[in-house]
Amino acid sequence: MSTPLLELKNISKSYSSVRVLNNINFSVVPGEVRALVGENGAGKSTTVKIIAGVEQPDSGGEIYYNGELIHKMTVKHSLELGVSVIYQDLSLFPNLSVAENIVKGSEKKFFVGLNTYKKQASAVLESLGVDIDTSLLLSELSIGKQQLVAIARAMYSEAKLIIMDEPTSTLSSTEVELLFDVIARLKESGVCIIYISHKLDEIFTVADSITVLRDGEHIETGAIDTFDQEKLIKLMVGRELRFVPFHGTDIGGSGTTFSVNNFTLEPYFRNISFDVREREVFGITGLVGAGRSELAQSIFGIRKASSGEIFLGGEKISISHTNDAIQAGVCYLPEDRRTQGLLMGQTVTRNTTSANLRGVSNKASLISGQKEKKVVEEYIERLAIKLPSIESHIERLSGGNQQKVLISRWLNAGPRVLIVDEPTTGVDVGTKQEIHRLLRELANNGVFIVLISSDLLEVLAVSDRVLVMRNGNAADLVETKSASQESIMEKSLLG
Amino acid sequence: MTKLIKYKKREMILVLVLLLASFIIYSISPQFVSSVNIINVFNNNALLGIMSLGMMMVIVTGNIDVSVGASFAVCNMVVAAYANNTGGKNPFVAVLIGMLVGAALGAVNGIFVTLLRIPAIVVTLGTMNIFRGILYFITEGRWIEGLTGPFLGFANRRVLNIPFAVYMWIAVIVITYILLYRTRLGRNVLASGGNKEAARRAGIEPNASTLTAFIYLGILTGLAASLSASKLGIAQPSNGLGYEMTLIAAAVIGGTLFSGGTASIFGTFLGMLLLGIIDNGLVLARVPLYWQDLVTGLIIILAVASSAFQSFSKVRSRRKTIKIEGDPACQD
Ligand SMILES: Nc1ncnc2c1ncn2[C@@H]1O[C@H](COP(=O)(O)OP(=O)(O)OP(=O)(O)O)[C@@H](O)[C@H]1O
Ligand SMILES: [Mg+2]
Repeated sequence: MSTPLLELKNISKSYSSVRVLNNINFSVVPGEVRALVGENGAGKSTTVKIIAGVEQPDSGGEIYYNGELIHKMTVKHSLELGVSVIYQDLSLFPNLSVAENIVKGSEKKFFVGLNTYKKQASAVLESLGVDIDTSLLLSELSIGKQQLVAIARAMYSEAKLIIMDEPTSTLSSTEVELLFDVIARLKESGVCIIYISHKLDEIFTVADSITVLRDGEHIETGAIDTFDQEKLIKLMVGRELRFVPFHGTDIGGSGTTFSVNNFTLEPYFRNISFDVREREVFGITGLVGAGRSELAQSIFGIRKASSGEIFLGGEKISISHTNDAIQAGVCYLPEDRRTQGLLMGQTVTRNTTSANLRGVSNKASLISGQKEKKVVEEYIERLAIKLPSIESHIERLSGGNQQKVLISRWLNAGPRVLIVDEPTTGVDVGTKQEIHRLLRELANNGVFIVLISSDLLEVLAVSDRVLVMRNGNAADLVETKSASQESIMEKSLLG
Repeated sequence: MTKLIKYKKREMILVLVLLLASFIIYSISPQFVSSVNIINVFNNNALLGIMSLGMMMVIVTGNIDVSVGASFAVCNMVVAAYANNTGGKNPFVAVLIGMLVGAALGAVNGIFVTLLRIPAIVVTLGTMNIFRGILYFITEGRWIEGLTGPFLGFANRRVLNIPFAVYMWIAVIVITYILLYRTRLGRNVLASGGNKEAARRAGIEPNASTLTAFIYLGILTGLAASLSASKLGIAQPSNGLGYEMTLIAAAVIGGTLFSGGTASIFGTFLGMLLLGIIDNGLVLARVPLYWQDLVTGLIIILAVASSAFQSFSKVRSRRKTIKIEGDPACQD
């Protein structure tokens, strides 16, 4: 074994009195791909921030880089040492161009050569295999493309250690392939990569070794072949976790339905029709960009479809604004929690109850703190949300826990129809199952569930029927009982 | 060209509004379009124009400075006092002193905002009163008049019939452009204005950007105050009252967003010009003074409303781009 590129010794971190990391020890060597895994709130992102100098560890811990003790790791210092991070929340600049986002932080000269940067940025994107106009503003890109920009940025910096915190959470499967190619190339040139993900199949594809964290403790580090999925999950969760695949319930008497008829909004989607039957979870899948989210947003009234009708329980409902949708009991969990979901700077409680304030109000129509607390605590328990306190600001929570809070919000809204768009993004394996179970249970209790997901395993496990969308068209409708991942994949690509 | 329309939409609209306003004023009072009057409009607004670019810079960092008017008065008096004592022999040194004093006042604001983390509006409301108060205390409200020597009137000197102050305005526009868009310093200002935490994680010190912006506004205020003393040959401690509102208006009309990170130098220039033309037009049309304030107020509201509309349509255009993104042809 060569000398470690980075070594953490007894790293701890506390926020006020809460200890979120406790004596973390591990090291990585050049050319290694190390997976860092753990449940939501285990301390992965915090570890990353300490390595990057964004957060300072408690005293007593030591960071060695190339065998040298770093007394105080600052952001500047870590950048100089060649550490580059793709943050879970991306940390990009919405007001700057793609080119500038890619070079920001790595510029050497005082005077800025715009065209040089543009060229260099384009070159990086090209080597990544994606086509994005570098003069666009970042805010004009979809969240998936922004993720690619963040990856390009890390590559541009020519770092020796690249940390990727859930880099694939918003990528399509083709783009994930591209990323894996890049990782292989980087590895070959001796770059070390710390890779964080909740997708275990990704980890077994890409990693050489794994470090498991649980509740801020270092549990185990070892070569990839010393692990299998079952063992890994057990180490992360701390107990045996059995996967119970769900089956579609018997869809008996199809009395009331939620139907969408001939929905069209060019150029996103056209002539989309489907019925969600009683006690059914209805899946919608397809490649990223197939028009799924746009369809959901139209149903919810965020962007009005040019034609189409919605029937709920035989009655036609007209939705021209999100308020109409919520009034009618149609709720939507958006795809991008940061820009479309969370109320930043607000407490966890307010984030949870905001879609159903009536439910936490007293007789005088004033919001009751007690009722709020009860509701929030119930979901914290149910979804195993890990948080400093229910009064802490939402941005203090780890990414996956933020997602769970959003899910709670819509569950709590008491929907008649619940459309969830990539509901388990960034959620750990254990809770993922719990969310699946919840969706199933809601369906059984009479809520119409529409599950939009690119994760085929998820779609197959939870939904009864799946609509496959391709290029904005309904490509096929399949019964999940008789479908496989491959057959759906084929349909979403070729039809 | 399409890019120009897409990214410079606001500036294009402003140019149209300017032309429209000019046309209306012209049809009421034809002397509006004479070279004398046009040069006058530029000359009368050069000083505020210079300062507006500094204000823009401060707003880009997500801050605001309402103490500029008071800083202007302080610089104005200091420069005049120096010119008075030296017989106006050395205009260059006088301007330099003005800019240094301005920079120091800007730094005071910047330090309070960054180190003590007090919101800029609170800090500068405070310093506005402190600067002005100290000035009145020291000067006891007295004016400085009868400036002489080369200092007097150098700002009015004309080359090609255009006053020096107008050249300075143009120079400051160019310098601001280079600073903001062509140096790492300026780019860092933009970046911190756009996403503070991301800036921090990219090794940029957002506080440094904020401090830079306040000092830059201070320097430009000092410059404008020196030019003012030279132009008028007189300085008084009540100078610069209400400047902050005009400067903020110019920047906002030009498309600078209070949320930070978005600026337009050309837009700010046009915004200043629009305010200037309307002032001028109302005078030419002999509209009573209080009506002028009303009209200016309306324009500011319209501008802010339109900037809200602009960010709204930005969200829309983003959705449109997502559609292009969603094009399956881009997928593989
Ligand atoms: N500023 C803060 N104040 C208080 N607690 C914090 C703060 N930042 C993070 N935490 C807590 O630290 C713990 C670890 O968070 P971290 O973001 O490292 O988790 P993670 O392993 O990355 O989880 P995820 O998989 O959800 O991203 C969480 O319980 C979180 O609530
Ligand atoms: Mg995390």
